[in-house]
Amino acid sequence: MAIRVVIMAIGIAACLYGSIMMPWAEMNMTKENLPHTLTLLRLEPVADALDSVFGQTAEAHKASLDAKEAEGNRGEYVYAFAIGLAILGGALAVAAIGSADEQEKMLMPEKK
Amino acid sequence: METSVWTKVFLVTEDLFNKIATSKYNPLYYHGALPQFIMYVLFLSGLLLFAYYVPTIDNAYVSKNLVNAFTSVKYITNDIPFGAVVRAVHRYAGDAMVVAIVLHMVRVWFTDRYRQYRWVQWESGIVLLIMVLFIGQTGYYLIWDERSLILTRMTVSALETIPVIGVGLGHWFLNGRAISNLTLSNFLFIHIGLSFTLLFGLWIHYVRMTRPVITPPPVVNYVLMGLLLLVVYLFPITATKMADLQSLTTNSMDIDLFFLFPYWVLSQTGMFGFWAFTIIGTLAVCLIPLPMGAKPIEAAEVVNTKCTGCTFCSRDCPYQAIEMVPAPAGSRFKLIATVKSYRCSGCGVCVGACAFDAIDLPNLLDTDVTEKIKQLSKAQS
Repeated sequence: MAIRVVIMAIGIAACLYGSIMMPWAEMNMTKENLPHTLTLLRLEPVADALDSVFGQTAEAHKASLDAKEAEGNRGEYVYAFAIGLAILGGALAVAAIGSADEQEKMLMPEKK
Repeated sequence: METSVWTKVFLVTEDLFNKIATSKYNPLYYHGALPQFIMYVLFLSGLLLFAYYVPTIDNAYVSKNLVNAFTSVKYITNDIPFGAVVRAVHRYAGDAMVVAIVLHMVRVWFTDRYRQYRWVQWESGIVLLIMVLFIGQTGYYLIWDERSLILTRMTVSALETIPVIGVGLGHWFLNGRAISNLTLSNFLFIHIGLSFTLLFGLWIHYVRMTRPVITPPPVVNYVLMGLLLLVVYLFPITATKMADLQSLTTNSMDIDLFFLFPYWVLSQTGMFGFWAFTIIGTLAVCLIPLPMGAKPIEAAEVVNTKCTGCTFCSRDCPYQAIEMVPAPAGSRFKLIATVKSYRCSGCGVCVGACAFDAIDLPNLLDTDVTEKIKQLSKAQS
Protein backbone atom coordinates (compact mmCIF):
# COMPACT_ATOMS: atom_id res chain seq x y z
CA MET A 1 0.00 0.00 0.00
CA ALA A 2 2.83 2.39 0.90
CA ILE A 3 4.39 2.15 -2.56
CA ARG A 4 1.03 2.99 -4.13
CA VAL A 5 0.70 6.13 -1.98
CA VAL A 6 4.20 7.21 -3.05
CA ILE A 7 3.35 6.61 -6.74
CA MET A 8 0.10 8.51 -6.30
CA ALA A 9 1.89 11.50 -4.71
CA ILE A 10 4.51 11.60 -7.47
CA GLY A 11 1.78 11.25 -10.11
CA ILE A 12 -0.29 14.09 -8.71
CA ALA A 13 2.79 16.34 -8.45
CA ALA A 14 3.77 15.56 -12.06
CA CYS A 15 0.21 16.18 -13.23
CA LEU A 16 0.04 19.57 -11.51
CA TYR A 17 3.50 20.59 -12.72
CA GLY A 18 2.74 19.66 -16.33
CA SER A 19 -0.69 21.32 -16.26
CA ILE A 20 0.61 24.63 -14.90
CA MET A 21 3.60 24.57 -17.24
CA MET A 22 1.47 24.28 -20.41
CA PRO A 23 0.78 28.03 -20.94
CA TRP A 24 4.46 28.92 -20.53
CA ALA A 25 5.50 26.10 -22.86
CA GLU A 26 3.77 27.12 -26.04
CA MET A 27 2.13 30.52 -25.73
CA ASN A 28 4.97 32.74 -24.51
CA MET A 29 3.12 33.32 -21.27
CA THR A 30 4.05 36.37 -19.19
CA LYS A 31 3.05 37.52 -15.74
CA GLU A 32 0.68 40.10 -17.25
CA ASN A 33 -1.36 37.35 -18.89
CA LEU A 34 -2.14 35.65 -15.59
CA PRO A 35 -5.72 36.11 -14.30
CA HIS A 36 -6.40 39.56 -12.84
CA THR A 37 -7.94 37.81 -9.85
CA LEU A 38 -4.41 37.19 -8.56
CA THR A 39 -3.85 40.97 -8.32
CA LEU A 40 -7.23 41.54 -6.69
CA LEU A 41 -6.37 38.91 -4.12
CA ARG A 42 -2.93 40.52 -3.61
CA LEU A 43 -1.20 37.37 -4.76
CA GLU A 44 1.43 39.04 -6.96
CA PRO A 45 4.24 37.08 -5.28
CA VAL A 46 2.54 33.87 -6.48
CA ALA A 47 2.34 35.27 -9.99
CA ASP A 48 6.02 36.28 -9.84
CA ALA A 49 7.04 32.84 -8.63
CA LEU A 50 5.00 31.02 -11.28
CA ASP A 51 6.37 33.24 -14.03
CA SER A 52 9.92 32.88 -12.81
CA VAL A 53 9.87 29.08 -12.38
CA PHE A 54 7.86 28.04 -15.43
CA GLY A 55 9.18 30.75 -17.75
CA GLN A 56 12.77 29.72 -17.08
CA THR A 57 11.90 26.02 -17.32
CA ALA A 58 10.24 26.42 -20.71
CA GLU A 59 13.23 28.41 -21.98
CA ALA A 60 15.61 25.69 -20.80
CA HIS A 61 13.53 23.09 -22.65
CA LYS A 62 13.60 25.18 -25.80
CA ALA A 63 17.38 25.50 -25.55
CA SER A 64 17.65 21.73 -25.22
CA LEU A 65 15.54 21.31 -28.38
CA ASP A 66 17.80 23.78 -30.19
CA ALA A 67 20.75 21.58 -29.31
CA LYS A 68 18.92 18.59 -30.79
CA GLU A 69 18.24 20.58 -33.99
CA ALA A 70 14.52 19.96 -33.71
CA GLU A 71 12.48 20.87 -36.78
CA GLY A 72 9.34 22.98 -36.28
CA ASN A 73 8.15 25.23 -33.49
CA ARG A 74 10.11 24.47 -30.30
CA GLY A 75 7.24 25.59 -28.08
CA GLU A 76 5.01 22.86 -29.49
CA TYR A 77 7.48 20.19 -28.41
CA VAL A 78 7.68 21.71 -24.92
CA TYR A 79 3.88 21.76 -24.82
CA ALA A 80 3.90 18.07 -25.81
CA PHE A 81 6.29 17.47 -22.89
CA ALA A 82 4.04 19.35 -20.46
CA ILE A 83 0.82 17.66 -21.53
CA GLY A 84 2.56 14.26 -21.70
CA LEU A 85 3.84 14.71 -18.16
CA ALA A 86 0.40 15.77 -16.94
CA ILE A 87 -1.39 12.85 -18.60
CA LEU A 88 1.19 10.31 -17.45
CA GLY A 89 1.24 11.63 -13.88
CA GLY A 90 -2.55 11.72 -13.64
CA ALA A 91 -2.90 8.23 -15.09
CA LEU A 92 -0.30 6.77 -12.73
CA ALA A 93 -2.01 8.37 -9.74
CA VAL A 94 -5.36 6.91 -10.79
CA ALA A 95 -3.82 3.50 -11.45
CA ALA A 96 -2.18 3.50 -8.03
CA ILE A 97 -5.28 4.29 -5.99
CA GLY A 98 -8.24 4.08 -8.30
CA SER A 99 -9.04 0.39 -8.13
CA ALA A 100 -11.52 -1.35 -5.91
CA ASP A 101 -10.81 -4.92 -7.01
CA GLU A 102 -7.74 -5.70 -4.98
CA GLN A 103 -9.26 -8.94 -3.76
CA GLU A 104 -11.13 -11.17 -6.13
CA LYS A 105 -14.34 -12.61 -4.86
CA MET A 106 -15.03 -16.21 -5.74
CA LEU A 107 -18.53 -17.61 -5.55
CA MET A 108 -18.96 -21.34 -5.60
CA PRO A 109 -21.93 -22.19 -7.83
CA GLU A 110 -24.52 -24.50 -6.36
CA LYS A 111 -25.32 -27.23 -8.85
CA LYS A 112 -28.91 -28.36 -9.20
CA MET B 1 0.97 -30.16 -15.70
CA GLU B 2 4.50 -28.64 -15.62
CA THR B 3 4.77 -24.87 -15.92
CA SER B 4 7.61 -23.70 -18.16
CA VAL B 5 10.30 -21.36 -16.87
CA TRP B 6 9.15 -18.59 -19.21
CA THR B 7 5.55 -18.92 -18.11
CA LYS B 8 6.76 -18.55 -14.53
CA VAL B 9 8.75 -15.42 -15.51
CA PHE B 10 5.61 -13.90 -17.00
CA LEU B 11 3.51 -14.85 -14.00
CA VAL B 12 6.02 -13.21 -11.63
CA THR B 13 6.10 -10.06 -13.82
CA GLU B 14 2.30 -9.99 -13.87
CA ASP B 15 2.24 -10.31 -10.11
CA LEU B 16 4.66 -7.39 -9.78
CA PHE B 17 2.46 -5.16 -11.97
CA ASN B 18 -0.60 -6.26 -9.99
CA LYS B 19 1.07 -5.15 -6.78
CA ILE B 20 1.86 -1.70 -8.19
CA ALA B 21 -1.07 -0.96 -10.50
CA THR B 22 -3.68 -3.59 -9.44
CA SER B 23 -5.03 -6.19 -11.83
CA LYS B 24 -7.53 -3.72 -13.26
CA TYR B 25 -4.79 -1.59 -14.83
CA ASN B 26 -2.12 -4.22 -15.44
CA PRO B 27 -0.87 -3.51 -19.01
CA LEU B 28 0.16 -7.16 -19.41
CA TYR B 29 -3.53 -8.10 -19.40
CA TYR B 30 -4.10 -5.85 -22.40
CA HIS B 31 -1.09 -6.80 -24.52
CA GLY B 32 -3.39 -7.64 -27.44
CA ALA B 33 -5.53 -4.54 -27.06
CA LEU B 34 -2.63 -2.04 -26.90
CA PRO B 35 -1.71 -2.33 -30.62
CA GLN B 36 -5.36 -1.68 -31.43
CA PHE B 37 -5.41 1.53 -29.38
CA ILE B 38 -2.14 2.62 -31.03
CA MET B 39 -3.77 1.92 -34.39
CA TYR B 40 -6.49 4.46 -33.56
CA VAL B 41 -3.79 7.02 -32.67
CA LEU B 42 -2.09 6.32 -36.01
CA PHE B 43 -5.36 6.63 -37.94
CA LEU B 44 -6.20 9.96 -36.33
CA SER B 45 -2.72 11.50 -36.63
CA GLY B 46 -2.42 10.11 -40.18
CA LEU B 47 -5.71 11.73 -41.14
CA LEU B 48 -4.40 15.12 -39.98
CA LEU B 49 -1.17 14.66 -41.97
CA PHE B 50 -3.05 13.43 -45.04
CA ALA B 51 -5.04 16.68 -45.15
CA TYR B 52 -1.89 18.62 -46.12
CA TYR B 53 0.25 15.98 -47.83
CA VAL B 54 0.90 16.29 -51.59
CA PRO B 55 2.09 13.01 -53.15
CA THR B 56 4.30 14.29 -55.99
CA ILE B 57 8.05 14.48 -56.53
CA ASP B 58 7.94 17.41 -58.95
CA ASN B 59 10.22 20.10 -57.55
CA ALA B 60 10.39 22.45 -60.52
CA TYR B 61 8.71 25.28 -58.62
CA VAL B 62 10.19 24.72 -55.21
CA SER B 63 11.69 28.23 -55.26
CA LYS B 64 8.15 29.58 -55.43
CA ASN B 65 7.11 27.43 -52.51
CA LEU B 66 5.10 25.27 -54.83
CA VAL B 67 4.68 21.95 -53.31
CA ASN B 68 5.83 18.42 -53.69
CA ALA B 69 5.87 15.64 -51.13
CA PHE B 70 8.96 16.96 -49.35
CA THR B 71 7.87 20.59 -49.20
CA SER B 72 4.37 19.62 -48.07
CA VAL B 73 5.93 17.64 -45.20
CA LYS B 74 8.06 20.73 -44.41
CA TYR B 75 4.91 22.85 -44.47
CA ILE B 76 3.16 20.47 -42.07
CA THR B 77 6.16 20.50 -39.73
CA ASN B 78 6.89 24.23 -39.70
CA ASP B 79 3.64 26.04 -40.51
CA ILE B 80 0.69 23.96 -39.36
CA PRO B 81 -0.04 24.45 -35.63
CA PHE B 82 1.31 21.41 -33.81
CA GLY B 83 2.19 19.86 -37.17
CA ALA B 84 5.63 18.79 -35.94
CA VAL B 85 4.11 17.15 -32.85
CA VAL B 86 1.43 15.34 -34.86
CA ARG B 87 4.08 14.12 -37.30
CA ALA B 88 6.29 12.91 -34.47
CA VAL B 89 3.33 11.25 -32.72
CA HIS B 90 2.52 9.43 -36.00
CA ARG B 91 6.08 8.25 -36.32
CA TYR B 92 6.61 7.09 -32.74
CA ALA B 93 3.15 5.55 -32.49
CA GLY B 94 4.22 3.37 -35.42
CA ASP B 95 7.31 2.29 -33.48
CA ALA B 96 5.17 1.70 -30.40
CA MET B 97 2.83 -0.48 -32.44
CA VAL B 98 5.71 -2.72 -33.55
CA VAL B 99 6.94 -2.99 -29.96
CA ALA B 100 3.43 -3.78 -28.67
CA ILE B 101 2.83 -6.43 -31.36
CA VAL B 102 6.18 -8.12 -30.70
CA LEU B 103 5.51 -8.12 -26.93
CA HIS B 104 2.06 -9.58 -27.64
CA MET B 105 3.63 -12.32 -29.77
CA VAL B 106 6.31 -13.14 -27.21
CA ARG B 107 3.81 -13.38 -24.38
CA VAL B 108 1.38 -15.48 -26.41
CA TRP B 109 4.26 -17.78 -27.33
CA PHE B 110 5.67 -18.21 -23.84
CA THR B 111 2.27 -18.65 -22.24
CA ASP B 112 1.38 -21.36 -24.78
CA ARG B 113 -1.59 -19.59 -26.31
CA TYR B 114 -0.77 -20.21 -29.95
CA ARG B 115 -1.37 -23.94 -30.24
CA GLN B 116 -4.07 -25.96 -31.94
CA TYR B 117 -7.37 -24.01 -32.01
CA ARG B 118 -5.39 -20.74 -31.79
CA TRP B 119 -3.33 -21.33 -34.95
CA VAL B 120 -5.64 -18.96 -36.87
CA GLN B 121 -4.78 -16.16 -34.43
CA TRP B 122 -1.05 -16.90 -34.67
CA GLU B 123 -0.86 -16.99 -38.46
CA SER B 124 -3.16 -13.99 -38.96
CA GLY B 125 -1.11 -12.13 -36.35
CA ILE B 126 2.08 -12.71 -38.36
CA VAL B 127 0.36 -11.44 -41.51
CA LEU B 128 -0.77 -8.36 -39.57
CA LEU B 129 2.78 -7.75 -38.30
CA ILE B 130 4.20 -7.99 -41.82
CA MET B 131 1.52 -5.57 -43.02
CA VAL B 132 2.34 -3.14 -40.22
CA LEU B 133 6.06 -3.30 -41.08
CA PHE B 134 5.37 -2.63 -44.77
CA ILE B 135 2.97 0.22 -43.93
CA GLY B 136 5.67 1.77 -41.72
CA GLN B 137 8.28 1.44 -44.46
CA THR B 138 6.04 3.15 -47.01
CA GLY B 139 5.63 5.94 -44.46
CA TYR B 140 9.38 6.55 -44.70
CA TYR B 141 9.19 6.69 -48.53
CA LEU B 142 6.44 9.33 -48.34
CA ILE B 143 8.66 11.98 -46.73
CA TRP B 144 10.66 12.04 -49.96
CA ASP B 145 13.98 13.03 -48.45
CA GLU B 146 17.37 11.51 -49.27
CA ARG B 147 16.61 8.47 -47.13
CA SER B 148 13.33 7.89 -49.00
CA LEU B 149 15.21 7.83 -52.30
CA ILE B 150 17.82 5.36 -51.01
CA LEU B 151 15.09 3.11 -49.57
CA THR B 152 13.12 3.22 -52.82
CA ARG B 153 16.19 2.27 -54.87
CA MET B 154 17.10 -0.53 -52.43
CA THR B 155 13.56 -1.92 -52.57
CA VAL B 156 13.49 -1.92 -56.36
CA SER B 157 16.90 -3.64 -56.46
CA ALA B 158 15.67 -6.32 -54.03
CA LEU B 159 12.43 -6.90 -55.93
CA GLU B 160 14.23 -7.17 -59.27
CA THR B 161 16.29 -10.12 -58.03
CA ILE B 162 13.13 -12.24 -57.73
CA PRO B 163 13.06 -14.64 -60.70
CA VAL B 164 10.42 -14.21 -63.42
CA ILE B 165 8.18 -11.65 -61.68
CA GLY B 166 10.87 -9.44 -60.13
CA VAL B 167 11.08 -6.78 -62.86
CA GLY B 168 7.28 -6.56 -62.99
CA LEU B 169 7.13 -6.16 -59.23
CA GLY B 170 9.68 -3.36 -59.45
CA HIS B 171 7.51 -1.58 -62.04
CA TRP B 172 4.42 -2.10 -59.87
CA PHE B 173 6.28 -0.63 -56.91
CA LEU B 174 7.36 2.46 -58.84
CA ASN B 175 4.02 2.66 -60.65
CA GLY B 176 5.99 2.85 -63.90
CA ARG B 177 9.44 2.10 -65.25
CA ALA B 178 11.13 4.92 -63.34
CA ILE B 179 10.49 7.14 -60.35
CA SER B 180 7.82 9.69 -61.22
CA ASN B 181 4.93 11.58 -59.62
CA LEU B 182 2.91 8.38 -59.94
CA THR B 183 5.43 6.61 -57.69
CA LEU B 184 4.48 8.74 -54.70
CA SER B 185 0.77 8.20 -55.46
CA ASN B 186 1.44 4.46 -55.33
CA PHE B 187 3.31 4.77 -52.02
CA LEU B 188 0.45 6.79 -50.55
CA PHE B 189 -2.09 4.28 -51.84
CA ILE B 190 -0.15 1.38 -50.29
CA HIS B 191 0.33 3.28 -47.02
CA ILE B 192 -3.34 4.18 -46.57
CA GLY B 193 -4.95 1.24 -48.38
CA LEU B 194 -2.98 -1.33 -46.44
CA SER B 195 -3.74 0.52 -43.19
CA PHE B 196 -7.46 0.08 -43.74
CA THR B 197 -6.89 -3.54 -44.78
CA LEU B 198 -5.57 -4.04 -41.24
CA LEU B 199 -9.20 -3.84 -40.08
CA PHE B 200 -10.11 -6.84 -42.24
CA GLY B 201 -7.05 -8.68 -40.95
CA LEU B 202 -8.12 -7.92 -37.39
CA TRP B 203 -11.56 -9.40 -38.09
CA ILE B 204 -9.88 -12.67 -39.07
CA HIS B 205 -7.64 -12.36 -36.02
CA TYR B 206 -10.71 -12.18 -33.72
CA VAL B 207 -13.08 -14.44 -35.60
CA ARG B 208 -12.68 -17.49 -33.35
CA MET B 209 -12.62 -15.59 -30.09
CA THR B 210 -15.88 -15.06 -28.27
CA ARG B 211 -14.85 -12.06 -26.20
CA PRO B 212 -11.53 -10.63 -27.38
CA VAL B 213 -10.18 -7.80 -25.19
CA ILE B 214 -9.77 -5.05 -27.77
CA THR B 215 -9.94 -1.93 -25.62
CA PRO B 216 -7.53 -1.23 -22.76
CA PRO B 217 -8.94 0.74 -19.81
CA PRO B 218 -8.63 4.55 -20.21
CA VAL B 219 -5.84 4.78 -17.63
CA VAL B 220 -3.61 2.44 -19.66
CA ASN B 221 -4.37 4.48 -22.79
CA TYR B 222 -3.46 7.69 -20.96
CA VAL B 223 -0.16 6.22 -19.78
CA LEU B 224 0.63 5.23 -23.35
CA MET B 225 -0.28 8.68 -24.73
CA GLY B 226 1.74 10.39 -21.99
CA LEU B 227 4.79 8.27 -22.77
CA LEU B 228 4.35 8.91 -26.49
CA LEU B 229 4.30 12.68 -25.97
CA LEU B 230 7.40 12.51 -23.78
CA VAL B 231 9.21 10.53 -26.49
CA VAL B 232 8.15 13.19 -29.01
CA TYR B 233 9.85 15.81 -26.82
CA LEU B 234 12.96 13.70 -26.15
CA PHE B 235 13.49 12.71 -29.80
CA PRO B 236 12.12 15.56 -31.91
CA ILE B 237 11.83 15.45 -35.68
CA THR B 238 14.99 16.78 -37.32
CA ALA B 239 15.43 18.42 -40.67
CA THR B 240 16.42 16.33 -43.69
CA LYS B 241 17.33 17.12 -47.30
CA MET B 242 15.00 16.70 -50.24
CA ALA B 243 15.61 13.69 -52.49
CA ASP B 244 17.64 14.50 -55.59
CA LEU B 245 16.92 12.15 -58.48
CA GLN B 246 20.12 13.22 -60.24
CA SER B 247 22.21 12.01 -57.34
CA LEU B 248 23.64 8.57 -58.07
CA THR B 249 25.71 8.21 -54.94
CA THR B 250 24.32 6.23 -52.03
CA ASN B 251 24.78 8.26 -48.89
CA SER B 252 24.61 6.87 -45.40
CA MET B 253 21.28 7.25 -43.61
CA ASP B 254 19.70 6.94 -40.20
CA ILE B 255 18.04 3.56 -39.69
CA ASP B 256 14.88 3.24 -37.62
CA LEU B 257 15.40 -0.32 -36.45
CA PHE B 258 11.70 -0.87 -35.75
CA PHE B 259 10.74 -0.61 -39.40
CA LEU B 260 13.90 -0.39 -41.46
CA PHE B 261 15.87 -3.34 -40.09
CA PRO B 262 15.35 -5.30 -43.37
CA TYR B 263 17.27 -2.52 -45.14
CA TRP B 264 20.02 -2.78 -42.55
CA VAL B 265 20.19 -6.54 -43.21
CA LEU B 266 20.28 -5.82 -46.95
CA SER B 267 23.14 -3.35 -46.57
CA GLN B 268 25.11 -5.70 -44.32
CA THR B 269 24.59 -9.07 -46.00
CA GLY B 270 23.80 -8.29 -49.62
CA MET B 271 20.89 -9.56 -51.67
CA PHE B 272 21.28 -13.28 -50.88
CA GLY B 273 21.53 -12.72 -47.13
CA PHE B 274 18.53 -10.41 -47.23
CA TRP B 275 16.25 -12.89 -48.99
CA ALA B 276 17.52 -15.78 -46.86
CA PHE B 277 16.80 -13.75 -43.71
CA THR B 278 13.35 -12.70 -44.94
CA ILE B 279 12.16 -16.10 -46.21
CA ILE B 280 13.66 -18.29 -43.47
CA GLY B 281 12.66 -15.86 -40.72
CA THR B 282 9.05 -15.61 -41.92
CA LEU B 283 8.68 -19.36 -42.43
CA ALA B 284 10.19 -20.13 -39.04
CA VAL B 285 7.75 -17.85 -37.25
CA CYS B 286 4.80 -19.17 -39.29
CA LEU B 287 5.64 -22.81 -38.60
CA ILE B 288 6.12 -22.48 -34.84
CA PRO B 289 2.62 -23.76 -33.98
CA LEU B 290 2.94 -26.91 -36.09
CA PRO B 291 5.53 -29.05 -34.24
CA MET B 292 4.46 -27.59 -30.91
CA GLY B 293 0.75 -28.14 -31.50
CA ALA B 294 0.64 -31.90 -31.15
CA LYS B 295 -0.31 -31.88 -27.50
CA PRO B 296 -3.55 -33.92 -27.30
CA ILE B 297 -6.58 -32.21 -25.81
CA GLU B 298 -9.52 -34.10 -24.38
CA ALA B 299 -12.49 -32.18 -25.76
CA ALA B 300 -15.52 -31.54 -23.55
CA GLU B 301 -18.44 -33.95 -23.94
CA VAL B 302 -22.15 -33.20 -23.67
CA VAL B 303 -24.39 -35.56 -21.70
CA ASN B 304 -27.34 -35.51 -24.07
CA THR B 305 -29.85 -36.79 -21.50
CA LYS B 306 -29.10 -33.87 -19.16
CA CYS B 307 -28.74 -30.98 -21.66
CA THR B 308 -31.69 -28.57 -21.55
CA GLY B 309 -30.54 -26.39 -24.45
CA CYS B 310 -30.18 -23.32 -22.22
CA THR B 311 -27.21 -22.03 -24.38
CA PHE B 312 -25.16 -20.92 -21.33
CA CYS B 313 -22.18 -23.09 -22.28
CA SER B 314 -22.28 -21.91 -25.89
CA ARG B 315 -22.32 -18.26 -24.84
CA ASP B 316 -19.54 -18.72 -22.27
CA CYS B 317 -17.15 -20.74 -24.47
CA PRO B 318 -14.19 -18.44 -25.30
CA TYR B 319 -13.34 -20.32 -28.50
CA GLN B 320 -16.76 -20.72 -30.15
CA ALA B 321 -16.36 -24.48 -29.81
CA ILE B 322 -19.96 -25.19 -28.71
CA GLU B 323 -22.81 -24.92 -31.18
CA MET B 324 -26.50 -25.19 -30.33
CA VAL B 325 -28.34 -27.47 -32.76
CA PRO B 326 -31.99 -28.61 -32.88
CA ALA B 327 -32.66 -31.34 -30.32
CA PRO B 328 -33.55 -34.80 -31.64
CA ALA B 329 -37.19 -35.77 -32.08
CA GLY B 330 -38.90 -36.70 -28.84
CA SER B 331 -36.78 -34.37 -26.69
CA ARG B 332 -38.50 -32.05 -24.22
CA PHE B 333 -36.21 -29.23 -25.31
CA LYS B 334 -35.75 -27.35 -28.57
CA LEU B 335 -31.95 -27.20 -28.64
CA ILE B 336 -29.00 -29.32 -27.61
CA ALA B 337 -25.30 -28.40 -27.26
CA THR B 338 -22.65 -30.01 -29.49
CA VAL B 339 -18.90 -29.63 -29.09
CA LYS B 340 -16.60 -28.96 -32.06
CA SER B 341 -13.66 -30.96 -30.77
CA TYR B 342 -11.13 -29.29 -33.10
CA ARG B 343 -11.83 -25.93 -31.48
CA CYS B 344 -12.11 -27.16 -27.88
CA SER B 345 -9.16 -26.31 -25.63
CA GLY B 346 -10.37 -28.37 -22.69
CA CYS B 347 -10.42 -25.22 -20.54
CA GLY B 348 -13.57 -26.26 -18.64
CA VAL B 349 -15.39 -22.92 -18.84
CA CYS B 350 -18.46 -24.72 -20.21
CA VAL B 351 -18.44 -27.12 -17.27
CA GLY B 352 -18.65 -24.17 -14.91
CA ALA B 353 -21.35 -22.53 -17.01
CA CYS B 354 -23.68 -25.55 -17.02
CA ALA B 355 -26.14 -25.64 -14.14
CA PHE B 356 -27.33 -29.16 -14.98
CA ASP B 357 -24.08 -31.20 -14.98
CA ALA B 358 -24.70 -31.78 -18.67
CA ILE B 359 -21.15 -31.18 -19.90
CA ASP B 360 -17.91 -32.69 -18.67
CA LEU B 361 -14.25 -32.99 -19.48
CA PRO B 362 -13.59 -36.72 -19.95
CA ASN B 363 -10.56 -36.84 -17.65
CA LEU B 364 -11.65 -34.12 -15.27
CA LEU B 365 -15.09 -34.71 -13.84
CA ASP B 366 -17.11 -31.74 -12.63
CA THR B 367 -17.60 -33.20 -9.16
CA ASP B 368 -13.83 -33.75 -8.75
CA VAL B 369 -13.02 -30.18 -9.85
CA THR B 370 -15.60 -28.64 -7.51
CA GLU B 371 -14.23 -30.70 -4.63
CA LYS B 372 -10.66 -29.64 -5.41
CA ILE B 373 -11.63 -25.93 -5.58
CA LYS B 374 -13.38 -26.23 -2.21
CA GLN B 375 -10.28 -27.81 -0.70
CA LEU B 376 -8.02 -25.08 -2.12
CA SER B 377 -10.25 -22.24 -0.94
CA LYS B 378 -10.40 -23.80 2.54
CA ALA B 379 -6.62 -24.16 2.60
CA GLN B 380 -6.18 -20.49 1.62
CA SER B 381 -8.65 -19.18 4.19
